[in-house]
Amino acid sequence: MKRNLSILIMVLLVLATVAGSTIAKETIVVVTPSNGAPGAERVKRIFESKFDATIEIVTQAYNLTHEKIVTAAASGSAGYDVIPADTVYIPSYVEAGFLTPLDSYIPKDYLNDITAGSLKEMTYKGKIYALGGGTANKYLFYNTQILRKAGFNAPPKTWEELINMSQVIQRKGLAKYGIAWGWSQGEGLMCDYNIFLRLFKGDYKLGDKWVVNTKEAVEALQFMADTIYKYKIADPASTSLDDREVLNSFLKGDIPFVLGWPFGWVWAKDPTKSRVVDSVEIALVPGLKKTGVVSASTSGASGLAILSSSKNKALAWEYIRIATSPEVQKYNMQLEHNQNISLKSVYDDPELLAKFPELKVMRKQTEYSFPRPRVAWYPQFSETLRVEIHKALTGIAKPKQALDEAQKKIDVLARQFDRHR
Amino acid sequence: MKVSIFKPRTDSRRWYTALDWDKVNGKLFPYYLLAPSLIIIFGLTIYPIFYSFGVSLLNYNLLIPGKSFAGLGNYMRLFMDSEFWASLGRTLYFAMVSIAVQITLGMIVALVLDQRFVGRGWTRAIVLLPWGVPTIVNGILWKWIYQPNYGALNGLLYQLGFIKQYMQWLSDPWLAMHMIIIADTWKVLGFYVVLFLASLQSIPSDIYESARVDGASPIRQFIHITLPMLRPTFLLILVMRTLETFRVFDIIYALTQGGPANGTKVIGYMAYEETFRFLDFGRGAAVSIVITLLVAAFSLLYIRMFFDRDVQFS
Repeated sequence: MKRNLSILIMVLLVLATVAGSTIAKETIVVVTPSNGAPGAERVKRIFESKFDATIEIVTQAYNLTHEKIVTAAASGSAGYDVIPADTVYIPSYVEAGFLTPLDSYIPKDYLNDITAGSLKEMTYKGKIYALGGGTANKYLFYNTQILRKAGFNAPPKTWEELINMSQVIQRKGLAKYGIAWGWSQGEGLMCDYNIFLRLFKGDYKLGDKWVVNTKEAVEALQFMADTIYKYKIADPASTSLDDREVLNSFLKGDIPFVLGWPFGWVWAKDPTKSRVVDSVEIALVPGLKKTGVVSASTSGASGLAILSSSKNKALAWEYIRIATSPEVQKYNMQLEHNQNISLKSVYDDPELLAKFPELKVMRKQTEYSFPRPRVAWYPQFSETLRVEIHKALTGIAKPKQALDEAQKKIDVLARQFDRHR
Repeated sequence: MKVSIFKPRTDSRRWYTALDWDKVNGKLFPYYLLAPSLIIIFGLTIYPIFYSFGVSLLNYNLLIPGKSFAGLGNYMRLFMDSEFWASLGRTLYFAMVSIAVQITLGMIVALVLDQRFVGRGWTRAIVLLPWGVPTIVNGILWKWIYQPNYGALNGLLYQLGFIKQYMQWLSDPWLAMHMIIIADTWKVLGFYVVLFLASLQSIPSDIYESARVDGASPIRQFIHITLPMLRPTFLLILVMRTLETFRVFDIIYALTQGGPANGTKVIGYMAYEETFRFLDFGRGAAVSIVITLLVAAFSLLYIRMFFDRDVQFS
């Protein structure tokens, strides 16, 4: 009797296990920065209505996504399938073997619809590793109300104009400062330096050699410091704010200008976050009269990629396909002004163009987009350069001295990494 | 007590029947009891340390294909790197200044709370509260307090007339380091107070009475009775806090991320940066091993001091 009962229990257990494994749905784990969470939830609902699988969303502060992905991918055991891949990190992820190429998954008509800028940023060594990274750039946000009160009807076209307008606004007591920068020692600083380097016609390479202490680079850095110390139009607190915190002053209506990313635009149009919903406008990043450069911006697209350790690559691809579809991109724009658009058909959509005139500015800005160096050792490159730039901006070193120091360190890094290429 | 855990059946054909199993089990019994803890300690502490040491001997950078044996190469490069020595210097400065400030303040607060006054219980509880706040939360809290435009510190000092314009608390490397020390002190002060208070209460009151009878002033009583009697507590605090300050990471991560201009980049932050930002696991492991060795050296030094003093006291 006892033996029979044990056999019965064992049979039931085996049956339960088998039944459980067939009933249990497959799960795709998607990592998303916190500002992308509402969008990811919407995609999850569409996905789960179409497929017999579930989506688990792991939300992460944007600035921590790199660490999160690196630790997960390096251990190979975190179980993430879809991750956000920022354009500057794609080379290092690929070199470390973290990402799966998407070329074989992408249908031809979809491929043809991707904007050239987006495709370039999501591609490394001839293969596409992420999709949906819109041609995200930094734009000039300005407060029309403050400008009107100061007697200006149009945004500045050059930095010389912006400095002049800021000084007028400050003199009239309409704002304490004209602009604030997100120039703490983070990546945001590098993005702004990149803009000024381009405005002064500089670059990171001379031939094959990495050169960061060129005459143009020193001029660009000097100009950045001058906005705080010479022209006194930039909030001196800039050197301790990151590119998210800096938006606080603008969204409160305390300053007339700020350089912002597309997520900043979403915030600016959100009445729960912004007091300038009706007075915020977007314009091209000003050019520089001195050099004749019309505009310059840093591209910071972040697309969706599949980790090579993913066990459900086909389903992970289906998630990406939905998340980057024209319908979802259009819906995100309509719902929350989310400009993360990577498809020509969405940019050209007459309904969207009529409702969101800023799309034209955005598209125009992509023409002046200047990428940061796309090398696997970019995190080191950026960190080294940023620390020295920060020294110049906080007055610890002169721009030339800071960039000469950066050059020495970058020479060492370049020798270390380039000999393995 | 007779213990027999692994006592095999008697079998003359087997070698182990010759052993006196009762005796063997009696000697091994403590080890059976310790085994689960030893396995956990080995798995979670000893093994990772050795594994980390192994990694530190490799050229192991995720951005460079393959791994190779580097010997002490990672350590050599580290010791030749001025940034490493600067980070180590900042760590030592952080450790020394924060411990000195915290011991002084902790002692003063404990002496006040040792007196009888109305609401003493409440005050003691309030002093302890910040200690319960997770360090990362404390970091974010202070980041808001130090916020240059809307932060509470600027608001308070400006309204009280101490400053004429808002200060950038985290823009200057030197100032930022001290602001981190203040934020850290706010959190850990309760820990010092509890330890000092417990020790103060254990000092027999008749010693003070005798001193008073002999005409000793309160200051002389403090110098000749209180301070010597608190010596073991000082040493305990020194050991624990030195270890903690050498490993400091989260409050720096939350407040400054090593900036401005690397002014608050301590050695713990360097280990994190090398490993998780630059993906150089070999070098990151080497930094971690250096931290481990430093902490171990300080611990040994303190433990020696601690036990010597203990013998004198007994």
